[in-house]
Amino acid sequence: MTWLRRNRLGLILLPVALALALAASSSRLVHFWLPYVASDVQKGTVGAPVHLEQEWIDHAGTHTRSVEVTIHGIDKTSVVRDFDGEDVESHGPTGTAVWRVSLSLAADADQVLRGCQLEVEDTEGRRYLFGSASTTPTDVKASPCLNPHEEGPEGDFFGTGPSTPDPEDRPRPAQWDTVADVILAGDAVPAKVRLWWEMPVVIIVPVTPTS
Amino acid sequence: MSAADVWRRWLGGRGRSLGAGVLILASLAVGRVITDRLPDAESVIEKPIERRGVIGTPIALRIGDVTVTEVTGATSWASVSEGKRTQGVWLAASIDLLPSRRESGLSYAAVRDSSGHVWELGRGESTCKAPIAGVPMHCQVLIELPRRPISNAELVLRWTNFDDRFDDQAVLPLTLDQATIDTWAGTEGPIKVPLATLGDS
Repeated sequence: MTWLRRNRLGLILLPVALALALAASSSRLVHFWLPYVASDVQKGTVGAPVHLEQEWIDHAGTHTRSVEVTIHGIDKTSVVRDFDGEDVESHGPTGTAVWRVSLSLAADADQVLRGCQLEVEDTEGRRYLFGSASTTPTDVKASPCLNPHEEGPEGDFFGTGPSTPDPEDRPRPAQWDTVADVILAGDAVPAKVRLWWEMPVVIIVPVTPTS
Repeated sequence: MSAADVWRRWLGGRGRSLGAGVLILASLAVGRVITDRLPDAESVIEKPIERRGVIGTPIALRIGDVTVTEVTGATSWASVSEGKRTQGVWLAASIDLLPSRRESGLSYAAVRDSSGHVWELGRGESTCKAPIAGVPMHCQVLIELPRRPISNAELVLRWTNFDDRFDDQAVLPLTLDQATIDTWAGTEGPIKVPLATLGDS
């Protein structure tokens, strides 16, 4: 009996044992990495609604975020939408360009949708986050996903109970259109729009600029 | 059967296992000696990768290119909103930053010497924040130092102090001899700290 033959069971089990050992030591990946990166991607296409569902926690308990997002496109813009929902003339520093992402959302009125983040990625993989306050004027609207004064309820993140609504606020409609103005490098060509509330669930929609 | 025979038989039957045991103990001992002589794994793994350069030439970091264009000093500085004096000296480094990936600025800046002293931002300031990828930014960092020469001083620049990804940092040699410190201590300033500018203008 050759050595290989005598040890065949062990040799077959060796890679299995190695795989098991690796899997067993992957807990750090599961607990400390995947929840904090965009590991749950909902890929969409322009004009088609993408449904995002995610559990989130505040002092009032565990909630389920359920929202439908449609990215309609991206164009260069010479205005930005300010905190009153008005479009005002705007410009960035030399060597930059402002792009406008058009999107629409649909969600129940009790859904907490503040804290949404939107990022444009260009063809070179460079990322541009909504809210980079380098445009003039700088007072752009607070949320890329919501319209000013129609932002809906807030989460209880500090244990202070329900907040008193702003008297200027109106109820959020069941479906709404909005825009997100993002400042990019002048030579950047948008390739993707990324939208999320909390990691790891992220909507990614490839876009082709129409202007 | 004599006692010696009993021993011989016992040992004879167990020669292999005893040999294996001795080998295991020996390899454990060797392993222990090796690990004792190697540096602590955690400190090696967590050590940021250092990109060394000099004033005036770009240093390529993961977040983009960092060029320290000038280093000056005085006893006070003034920005658009605040100003600070010191009993020591303020070091001011002018920086050209070209982020390559995203809006990563420089939130960590420090001066360190060869004997392990580190002077971090503290009361100082970094205006190198919230840039735009692909758009050059001109900005400054200000670090408060004691009024004495610092031998083998180095300027360290990194995008964040809360680095959980073992990222890289720029390291530049500084000349902080008696003459430099005396000049800075004799310059009241204030060093002007405008808002960072973006774009090629």
